[in-house]
Amino acid sequence: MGIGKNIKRVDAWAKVTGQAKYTQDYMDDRMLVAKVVHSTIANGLVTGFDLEEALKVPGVVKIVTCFDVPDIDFCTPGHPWSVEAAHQDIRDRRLLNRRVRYYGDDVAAVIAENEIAANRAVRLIKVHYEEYPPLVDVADAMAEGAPVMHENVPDNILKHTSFALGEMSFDEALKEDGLLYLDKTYDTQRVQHCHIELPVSYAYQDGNGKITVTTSTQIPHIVRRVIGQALGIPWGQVRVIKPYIGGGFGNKQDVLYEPLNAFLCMQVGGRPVRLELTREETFANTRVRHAIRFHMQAAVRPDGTLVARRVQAYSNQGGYASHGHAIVANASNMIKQLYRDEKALESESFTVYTSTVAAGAMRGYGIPQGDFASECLIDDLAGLIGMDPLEFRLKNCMEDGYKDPHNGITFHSYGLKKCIQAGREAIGWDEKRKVYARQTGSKRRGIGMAIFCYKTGVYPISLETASCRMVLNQDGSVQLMMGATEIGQGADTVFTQMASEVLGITEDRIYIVSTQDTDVTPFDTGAYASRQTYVSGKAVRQTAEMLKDKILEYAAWMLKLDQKNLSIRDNMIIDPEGEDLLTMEALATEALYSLERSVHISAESTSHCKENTFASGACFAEVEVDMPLGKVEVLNIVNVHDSGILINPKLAEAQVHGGMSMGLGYGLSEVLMYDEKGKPLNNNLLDYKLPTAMDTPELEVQFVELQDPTGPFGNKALGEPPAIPVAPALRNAVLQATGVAFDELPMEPQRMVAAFKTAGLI
Amino acid sequence: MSQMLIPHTPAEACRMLAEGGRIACAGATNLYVDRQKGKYTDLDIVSLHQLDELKHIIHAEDGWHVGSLVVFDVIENKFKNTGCMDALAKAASEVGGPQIRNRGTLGGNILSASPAADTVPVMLVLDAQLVLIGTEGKRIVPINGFMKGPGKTGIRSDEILTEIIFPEKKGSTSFRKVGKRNALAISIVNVAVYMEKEAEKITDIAIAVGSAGPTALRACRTEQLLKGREIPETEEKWQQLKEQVCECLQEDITPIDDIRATASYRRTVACNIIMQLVRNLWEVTEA
Repeated sequence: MGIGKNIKRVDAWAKVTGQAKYTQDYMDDRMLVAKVVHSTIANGLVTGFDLEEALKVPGVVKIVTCFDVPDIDFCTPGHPWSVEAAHQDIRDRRLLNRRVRYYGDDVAAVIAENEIAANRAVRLIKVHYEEYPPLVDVADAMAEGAPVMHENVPDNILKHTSFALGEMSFDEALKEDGLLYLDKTYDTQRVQHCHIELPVSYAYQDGNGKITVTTSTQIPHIVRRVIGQALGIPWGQVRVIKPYIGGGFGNKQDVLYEPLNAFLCMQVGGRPVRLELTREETFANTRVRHAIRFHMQAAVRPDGTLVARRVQAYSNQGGYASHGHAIVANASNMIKQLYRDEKALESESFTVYTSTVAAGAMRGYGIPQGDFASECLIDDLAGLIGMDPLEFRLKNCMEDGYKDPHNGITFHSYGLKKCIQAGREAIGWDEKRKVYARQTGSKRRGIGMAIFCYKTGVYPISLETASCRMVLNQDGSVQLMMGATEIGQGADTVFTQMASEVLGITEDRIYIVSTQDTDVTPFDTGAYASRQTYVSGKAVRQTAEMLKDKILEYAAWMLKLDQKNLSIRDNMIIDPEGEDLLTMEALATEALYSLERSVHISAESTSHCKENTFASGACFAEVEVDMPLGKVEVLNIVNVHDSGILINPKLAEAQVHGGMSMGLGYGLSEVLMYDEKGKPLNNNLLDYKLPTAMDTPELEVQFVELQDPTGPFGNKALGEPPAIPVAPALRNAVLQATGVAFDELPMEPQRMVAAFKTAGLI
Repeated sequence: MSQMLIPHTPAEACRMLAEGGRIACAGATNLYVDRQKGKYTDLDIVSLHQLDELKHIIHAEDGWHVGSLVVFDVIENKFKNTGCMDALAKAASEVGGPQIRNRGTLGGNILSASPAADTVPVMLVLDAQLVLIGTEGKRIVPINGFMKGPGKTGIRSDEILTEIIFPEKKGSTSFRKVGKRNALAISIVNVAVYMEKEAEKITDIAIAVGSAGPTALRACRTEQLLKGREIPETEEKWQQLKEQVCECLQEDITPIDDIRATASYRRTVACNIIMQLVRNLWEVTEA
């Protein structure tokens, strides 16, 4: 009972037996089907449509085009709404867009009686365009005279920020004698989340005008607000229901097609309309991870002191702002936090509109990109001065008690160096670095590492708020309702454990309501930023304490004893000696049905979290590189995480496995490619290469468990971190094996073979 | 809208196909994906899946007779570690994933005529013969020359492939593919090598390369270069041989750039794989 135990997932049985209901399970064939018409140019303007042939298709009910939608620009990211206008998300898209800003932009939608009719009509619609040159890369979009993507952003630079730290400028710092200097560019690629369940929703409007949208989302309360904003209707008129969902990884931390779905149902008198994307659409038309280019300059003293760094980051936003500059800003901050520069750090970040699919949130929110650049640079600098990269990290990395000079986030429970030590031993760093130092032959081995830090939730950059409601049932069990969402990560299970820990009621007597329904569910901003066990966990703790107090107050009244001397353990009211006094069942029945004092015991509270702390960790990888074929085999890999106290160690380990798998794909095989016209080339799971089981080595996981004083149960972020350090650790292992530095992801066979040829190795 | 026709005998299949506007399918592992992409959607499908007489594997005097509807999984289990047929098992074991290997057939791998088909290079080096029947009778043709280009073979519109004959061979074979990952990957390059040796010499050699031209192809110039060659005794001589092979191979193959890889990568890696396989075959036979 309680935290720290490997309680079986509360949804395990339902999911394993297929009884758990997902959005699609609630849909039926009587619903109308909507299909979106996507542009076949990357940049331009819709001048007209030929709809006649499409309207003749039997079963077509209505076709709505970009000329028929409200003149309202809206924003989509899953951020808490800022009450300050200057910090509000950027409103730059419409339900259907006349101004086409990427290949596949939504220009019209067909509503039909069935999917076949809808698809046929989509194929028969002719769209006329005025075409502009595509802007695939950041460089194209920043070039002099490039076409303007959004009228109010004439240079296509959505946002530019900079900061400087240290006693002098970077150029000043370079004047010191004897420094070694490096100037490098590191490139990260565009990848997609590839959650199993595709984005899907259905919407209808009832007789009272209320629009209900059931959808696969991480952020139901935010979806409600954005639908209201996009349609120009009161937010309360919208009801969003989120059943079980099959993964999100940040793609569903964005409002995708829910507003269009709501609008379409209103176009057919409120009839239920379903809108389900294909895998190809999910790649091409939802969100991707930002491709970010980092130009890094650094100076190091021969004794291994990091003296100064200058970072310029260019983030490819795609056609719409979505999460926008927050991503690259996060990356630049982490680069700052992870290492000390003795004299100077200068950082500059650009987020640039291009005519490609919008980039948004994806597990790690810019940190995997920043960590790749940071950790490649660190190995390259260590190589420059001939120092062991692990020792170089120990000498320069963030220390215990680190406090961010800009936002004040503090490292309260510091486990970073313990993680480095644990990984060092697990992989056999000291011996293997020596053994692999000198090799010949076409297959070579190496080990590499990378470290990271990750804040827990978004405070103080943004609001952190979460609510919880608990109701004592008639039999002494508890109904637990969270605004926070279960998206496959195990949130429902750990919230149940937390409630059990505080209440003294066993997990089997706590019924968490997995579905969020914004008409009923307490408010929470949703699953993102590795925040829920921390921020929403605080709401569980606080609410459970309130409920417990009310239960004991009632027990004291029933037993005619002093409340101070009562407690709850294993569903029993007990005295200070641990003697059972009263069952929860008897108490609850009395509380509800007492003729003398009937009380419906419940508690609800909001936790407005104004704290934050760093999680950290390291990845160590051992690889064998077959140079003639350009193949990397991962022989051993271990992630060590400093995520505070684990609420459920088995679930935590599974979380790390998933993240490591994502990191392997990021490092070795995944990339969403575009041609020069801005058309996606591999927006399907055949040509976009996720790692399979055959590509995945044994994944070793270790934890350094330290009590974090700010966490509700000593815990801190774990959801996203596992995906962060894997790609740079692999890159650094390949560097040790072959001496070749791969500065661009992914490390695909052909890129490797070309580099080995250039290096004269094959 | 297209319809599916299910023949109960090979002859019936041929008659159905002779009507025109129809396409034959076996395991449908390619057809399903192609139709998703909008190809063949206007054609009727003649599904051969019920023709059990095309699912045989017989060892006769003139060699192995393998029915065209034998699936990859069966090929893998039947021919693993069986002399020169071993490379066929290896190639079959690397097609797609388990589900595809339980559906996809040897005949389908030939007739889909993908330049990247994994089993085709092995059939090329083993000089496989194809048995085709049509409304006008039966014919036997060598697989070498049968593949005409991507998606194109020498099959006639009323014909089906009934079996593949692998003549008896005394040498040994090897196969290697490189994909973008270790499973569920279309070959970027694949290579099959057949080798016979005597004393210190390669007495006979056949090399086929996939995904390096419009069809999988025999690297004839490279074969000529290696035939009769003495096996190098030193690393340096291996390196010299590799350089000669690479130079020669460039004349044999005509790879292109596509979303999986560049032509340049394919040229380099095809040569590197050939050398790995030749050396492995030499050393294994030695042992």
